[in-house]
Parts: sequence; C-alpha cells; structure tokens
Amino acid sequence: MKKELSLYVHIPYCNSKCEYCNFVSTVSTDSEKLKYVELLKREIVLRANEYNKLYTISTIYIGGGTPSCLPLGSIKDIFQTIYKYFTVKNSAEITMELNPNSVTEEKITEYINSGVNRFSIGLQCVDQHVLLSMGRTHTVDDFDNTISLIRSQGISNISADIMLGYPGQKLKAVQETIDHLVSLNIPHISSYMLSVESGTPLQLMVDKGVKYLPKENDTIKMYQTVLKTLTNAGYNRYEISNFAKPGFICKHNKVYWNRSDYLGLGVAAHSYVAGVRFANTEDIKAYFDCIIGKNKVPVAEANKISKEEMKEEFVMLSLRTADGLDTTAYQKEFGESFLAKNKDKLANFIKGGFLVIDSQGRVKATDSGFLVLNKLILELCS
Amino acid sequence: MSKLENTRNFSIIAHIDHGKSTLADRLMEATGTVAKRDMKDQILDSMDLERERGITIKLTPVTMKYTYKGTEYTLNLIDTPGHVDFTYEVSRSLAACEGAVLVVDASQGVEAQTLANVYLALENDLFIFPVINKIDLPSARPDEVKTEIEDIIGLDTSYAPLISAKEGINIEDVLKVIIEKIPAPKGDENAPLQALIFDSYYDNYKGAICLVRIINGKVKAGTKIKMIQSGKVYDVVDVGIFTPKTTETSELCAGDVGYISASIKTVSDIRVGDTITEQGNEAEPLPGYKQVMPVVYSGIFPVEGDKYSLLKDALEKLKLSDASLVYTPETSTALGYGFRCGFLGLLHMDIITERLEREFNLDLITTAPSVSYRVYKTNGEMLEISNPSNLPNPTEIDRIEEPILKANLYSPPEYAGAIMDLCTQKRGIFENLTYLEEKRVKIVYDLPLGEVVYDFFDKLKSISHGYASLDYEQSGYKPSDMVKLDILLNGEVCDALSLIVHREKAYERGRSIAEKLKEVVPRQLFEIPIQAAIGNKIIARETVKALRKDVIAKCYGGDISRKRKLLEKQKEGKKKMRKLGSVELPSEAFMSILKID
Repeated sequence: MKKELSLYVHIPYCNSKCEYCNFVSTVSTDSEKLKYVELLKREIVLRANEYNKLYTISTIYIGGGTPSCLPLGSIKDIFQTIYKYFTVKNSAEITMELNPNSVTEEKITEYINSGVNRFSIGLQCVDQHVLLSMGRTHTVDDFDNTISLIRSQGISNISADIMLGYPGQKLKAVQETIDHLVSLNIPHISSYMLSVESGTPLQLMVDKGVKYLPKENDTIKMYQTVLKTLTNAGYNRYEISNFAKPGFICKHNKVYWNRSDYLGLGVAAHSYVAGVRFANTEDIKAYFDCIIGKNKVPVAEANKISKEEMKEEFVMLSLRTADGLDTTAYQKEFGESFLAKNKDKLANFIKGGFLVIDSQGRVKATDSGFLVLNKLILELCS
Repeated sequence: MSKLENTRNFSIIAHIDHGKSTLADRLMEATGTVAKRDMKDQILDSMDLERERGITIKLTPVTMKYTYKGTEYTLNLIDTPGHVDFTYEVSRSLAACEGAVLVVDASQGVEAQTLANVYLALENDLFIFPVINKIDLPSARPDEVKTEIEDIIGLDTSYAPLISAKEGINIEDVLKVIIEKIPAPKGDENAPLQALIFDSYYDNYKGAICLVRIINGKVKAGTKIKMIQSGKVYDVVDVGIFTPKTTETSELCAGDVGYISASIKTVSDIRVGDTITEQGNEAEPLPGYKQVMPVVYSGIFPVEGDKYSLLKDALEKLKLSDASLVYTPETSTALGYGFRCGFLGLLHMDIITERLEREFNLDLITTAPSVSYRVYKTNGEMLEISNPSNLPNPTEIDRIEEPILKANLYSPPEYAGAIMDLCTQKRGIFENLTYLEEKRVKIVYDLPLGEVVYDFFDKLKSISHGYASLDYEQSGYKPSDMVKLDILLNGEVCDALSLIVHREKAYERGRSIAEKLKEVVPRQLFEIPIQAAIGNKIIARETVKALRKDVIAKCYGGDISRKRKLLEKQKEGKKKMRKLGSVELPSEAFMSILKID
C-alpha cells in the first residue's frame, strides 16, 4: 500500500505587502505570475516522477503570498497538473488561502471546481485602523462578502486568521474580532501573536519608536479573551494557536505537528519526507533558472534529521497540541523514557503549573504553560 | 664599546598624542637607523594593542649612530611607559638616562599628565629640554607654549627646537641639542660590573632577556653574572644593542644601553631595578630597587567552563613576558574554575585581560577589582585577603586594615577645590597643599588604595579637565570599617559578586548593583528576588518578575526548520550561561555588573 503524503504549494505573490510580513512574496505582473505557474507545473511533474509510485496525496494546501491573486484559470491549471501526475485521494482535504479583497465569484467557482473544499482567510482584526496600520488593503465587509460567496457555493469548511498584539490594537478590538467570527459561525480560527520579524518595515518602526508593542499584560489578556470566548462558543483549542468546532480540525496542519511526510512545491517551499527536511530556493530568479536551465528542482538546503533532532522536534511539536506529548509513543520511537530523562524539570514545571501529565501518560501544557511554551521547550531540550 | 664622552642616554617624555612615537620614528630615520622604506608608523610600539590604542605602554629601546661635527655619537633612546600604574618602571628607566626630551604640542601646550613624569625625571637628576612639536599645524602657538613651559615647569626654552615630527621638520635640531646639552654618562669600565635592569622581555628562542644600562664595568658572553637582589647566577650567552632589532656586540661597557641574554627561564627571574654584577668580583647594588607588588586583584574566569586549561596555558605564557602578573587558581560556585590575578593597576589589568582575549582567543569574565586587606582574627592570626569569598566570618574578625596610599596630586589651583572634594568622598585624609609655582599646586592626601583603584583616576581627570595628575606610593595599613557585601539571587549568595567595601559605601553599592542586576537578569519562569546583604542584614532588594509570555506563533511547514535553528541558537546561548542554584545568568550579566562605572 502506498504511504500518505501532503502537498504544499507556494504562490509567492501578493497585491500588496503587509508591513509585518517576511514571507517570500512580492507584488508582480500577471505575465510574471503566469510564467511562475508554468514552472510550478514543471516542478509538479518532476516531483511526481519521484514520489507518485510510493505515495498518495491525502491533503493539499495552497498558500502564499496570496494564491487568490493569480489570474483567472491559473489555479485550475495547477490542480489539473497535480491530478494528472499525482494520485490524490477522493477524501483529500484541499485548502486554499484567500485574501478578502482578491476574490470574485468567478474565481471561487474556479477553485471549488478544481477540488478546493476548505478556505483559509486572513482577517487579522475587525478594527479598520489596525488593518490600515498593518498595511492590509481590505475591509471587514470584504471579508464578510467573501464568506458569503464561499458559502453560497456550498463550502462550510472555512478558517480565519487573526492576529494579537499588533501596535495600536486594543483588547476591545480583539474581543470584537472574535465575537464577529463567532457570530458568523466560522468553524476554524487560527490566532497568533505578532512576532516582529527582522527586515520588515514594522521592525524598523518599532526600533525607531514610531510604533509601540502592546504591554505584555495586554497581550496576555488578548490571548485569554480569545481562549475564553471560543471555548464558551464550542471551539476546541486543538493546538496552541488553532481553534476548531468539532469536525473542523485542519488535517493538513496535523501533518506538520505529527511529523508526517509533506512535500512543498514552488519557490521557498519546505518539505519533510522520509526523515529529511529540505527546502526550495527562496530566490524566484534562481528558481526560474534552475527549472528552465537544468530541468531540476532548485533545492537550497536538505538536512537528514538526526535522532537527537528528531527527539527535539517530537517535544517541540507535540507540546503545541492539546493532545500533548505521548510518552508511550516517545518511548516506542526513541527507546528511552521521556519522564525519566526529564524528571526534575518536569517536576518543577508541574509544580509551577505549566504542565500536567494525564492518566494516559500524556504531558500537556496548561493555559499558563502555553503562554511560555518556547521557554519550556528550550528547557526540556537542553 | 663606545667612548663615554660620545654617548648620550635619553628618554622622551610626552603627553599622549603629543607625538612621542612619531618623534622616535623621525630620529631613527634621521640617524639612518631605519631606512625610510622599512618605516612603518610607530615602529617601536611592539604590541598591536599599543599601536591600536594609541597608548604607548613601553617602547623598545634603540641605539642610534649619528655623526655631528665630524664625531660619531652613540645615542641611546630608552622609553618610559606613561601611566601611573607603571611609575616604578618609569623611575628605573629614567635612572638609566642622563637626559630627557620633553615633547610639547605647539597648540595644546603643557598637559597635566606629562608633569608627573617630568617631576620623576627631575628627581632622577636628569637634564630635561623641551621640544615644541606640531608647529606645522595652523593652531600652533609656539611662543605662548614656550612661556607656559617656563612658567609651569621652569625649563629654559631659549634653545627649544621647533619641530614637526610628522612632517620631519627640524629633526636635526633635536639631535643637536641632545648631543650638546645632555651630559655624557660617567662611569668606569674597569670597575666591577654594575648594570641596572630597567626592563625585560621574553624571547621564544633565547628565554628571558635583561634590558640594562651599564653603569660601571663591562659584560660579555661568558661573564658569570649575579643578580644582587635575587642572588641568582647565570652565564652570559650573548650581549648586544637594539638597532632597533637585537644586534649582538662583543661587549657592553660603562655608559652603554643594551641587552644581556643568559638562558634565563622566565622574566620573573629578572627584577626591574635589580643590579647585575660579576660573580666573584662583586660591586655594590645600585640605589632605588623596590620589589614590585600587585596592587589590584581580580578573579579571571573563562566564559565557557571547559576553557580553563586554555586560560591556564595563556597565563603561563603571559607570565613569561610580564613579571608583574601574579596568579593563583581560584574556584567560584558561580563561575567555576579560574584564577585570582594580581596587577599593578587597572590599566595593567585591562591590558592583561585584553591580551588574553585577543592573543589567546578566550572569552573571559573578570570579577570586580579588589585590593589586599589585612584581616586580624580574634585568635591573633593575620590574613592577607584580596578575595571577598575568603573573608572569615565577622565573629572571627577582630579588625580589618586597608592599604593606604600617600597620594601626590598636581593641578592648576582652580581645580584644587574639586580635587579635595573628590578625595574627601573617597575617604581621603588631607595632609598638605603647597604652591609649586603660581599655576601649580601639590595636594597631598592619605587615600585608601581600594578607593583609588576603583574609579578615582577617571574622576580626577574629568573634574580637572585632564590637568590634574597623580602619583602615589603605598604608605601602610590603617584599621577601617570594612564589610563584606553579598549579593543574593533567589536567596543564594553569588560569590563572584561579593565585594569588600567600606560600611558607609555598602548601602549605595548594594542598591546600585541590585538595580543593575534587575536590568540584566533575564526573566525566568519563576520570580527571582535579588538582595544585597551585609551578613544577615538585607540592605537592598529588587525582584525580577517571572516570565509570563512568549510569542505564540504559528508553526507550519517551513516554520519547523526555523524554530529548530532558533532552538539550537538558544541552546548555544544557554551553554554560556552560568547557573547559580536555580537562576541562570548570561555571562554578559556578570560583566555588566562588574564593569566599573
């Protein structure tokens, strides 16, 4: 039987660049985008030759950038190539990212006809001032209209992204954002805190004192507000930054956290297959040149994950999830006891109220543990 | 070797930046000692550190030949280090000369720091003549500067050469005055050997080398020499002069300046100021010898604990060429294994730590400098303590005595008030104030050494705009109300941060350290109390609040590699952390606390 593989497809284009974003994406012309789609299709063929014999595709995720900013027909084109060269399961979860102001009814129809059955939409905040400050060019109405468009065509599996702790963002704005999503009955919400990335315009402004980050306590309150409101509304926090109503957990995300195999396609896309992490070049020109010139996929780095690194990833990823770290699975995979190895540290963290161990031997972060998870992971890995 | 009457031994005295090294370069050029094409700037500054900092710790001596009015003269230039840490070395170098060239900047005029060395030179009965440098600068005011020199120092400036060392203007005038005005050395080459050691250095092939001025007698390869103070006897392997590289000669005679190489293992066997004589035909020791003792002590620890043996090797190597450096192994609960090191002063400490870091590629943590206290115990025992951790329990201490300096401060009168305030602040006891000249006073204070090594020198410079200078000698010990100030993190004493301070200063120091620690201790998962204490009494307290939140970020495909790399970096950082009970401190935290304001 063939093993399961997830596909990630990166579309490195946006209509405009948000000031906090350091992802590989640019604002570009249609002809450039179409050229990229052609090369992406060639990469799909190349990769399929390598993997199709061994794997069937269980989830697909089209991300970016903003995939919905591709010209009409491009997404259909990409999917046709995928279906032609890979074996995709009938039950596959197929997600696509959208920006609220880059879609039309026509485009949504194209996506759904291409097999997309889940949409992930960046809202970030319902406070228009905050949206402007972020450099986002859509309104809350744009978001609402997009939701209606999708729902009118029969898709209910929708996720929204929101951001906490942006300069100028108030607790009230977060509360309103959450309330809005709950009232719209959006079944999946990703909520994460702003991290100021180096090289972004935002970093410059924060460093220069033009923009101020909210106080630590305020950001903590924002996270707690999200947690409380969503829990009361029937959502589960299945991962530190992801909430879902029953039946709407994102299968593709779980692939990452369970260290299952996934293949990234397109510029800057990362992959993890058979214990090796590798990534395509982040340089669009290098990507073009390598595929055109050598008919090869331009891999920029590849690392076989050692056993020690594997243990760290296990800890780092599993503790993010509500299921926590399964010590039985850890013992089975690495032949050593996680509990015995970290006895003193765990005792300390449990005493401090950061971790708990349940009756099935799972180590789980508590609410205050999730807030300092990076620190807990660092301590447990060193 | 050379005739006495055709030899001149001199040094150059100059304020920092007034052009000492540049003038030395030009003299070597003018005498043909070094060809122009071999010239690199400040050729005699042998350590990179000196060249970079622009401070000259010590120049290599150099012997130059110069023909003047048909006669060939031998000119020996001996340098003097220009910092109060090295006053004794300066006095020995000056004792090897008959004259000194005082370089004064034509626009800056007489600067205070120069004066201490001028007075030292006068004490050694040297003939001093001024040279006005940098006359090529538009701001030069040679006439005014001449008047200043006459008023302040009282030197005759009528024949002072007006030069530009940088541009090579009037360099011959300097040579002319050296030959005409500086007295020829006196001495008897047939008398028993008396050679004054004024410096030493370490050569990788030949071992420790003595830099000497021959006062009487002669020395050559094969001479059995005896160091009078240390009593050690050696067979001379070879002798020679500096041109400026070492050049072997058949012998060194009375009046000469050069080196003696005698298979001496380390420079610690050579004591600056000691007299070399001939075994079996012994002369009297020359006056002025003093045993050089460390003044300041500090713990030096490698940032990474596993570098201890590298630090040990490095200190051993430095010790070969720096006799004034002393060290013994030390263990700290916070910092692990390291060494307690003794230095001549803070500049010396700076130089040693910088050389350790630079030449041996070590990352170091140095603890706060401390002086050596005499601790009298109730059982009658006396301990010399420079490490706060070794201080006995207060109940066992009868009294503590601290080292006291007799400090001479020289300054223009307008700064006298501020200087006296500073001395009072530093627990000084006023002795005397005299007018040396109309524009110069000498203020004498008894000052605790512990206060002087702390930040006295910098403060003195800043309140007097650089005009005041300081020289001092240790004048004994005095009972003092010294206490041990401990710093506690999470209730545990951090031994590396303990200090011996005067009770009156303990509160202020305790508070400022606690405040500073609060800034640099990274927040941890638990709240950390920081306390300053004398014995069981807490005198200051701060709290580092617990870390309550990291950034909650998403973690999808590409984020995993990023997060793992970040984790690796953080783990590397953790390796450099020092664990103190349950508190982890980055090395930088230690260093920022220990840094002297």
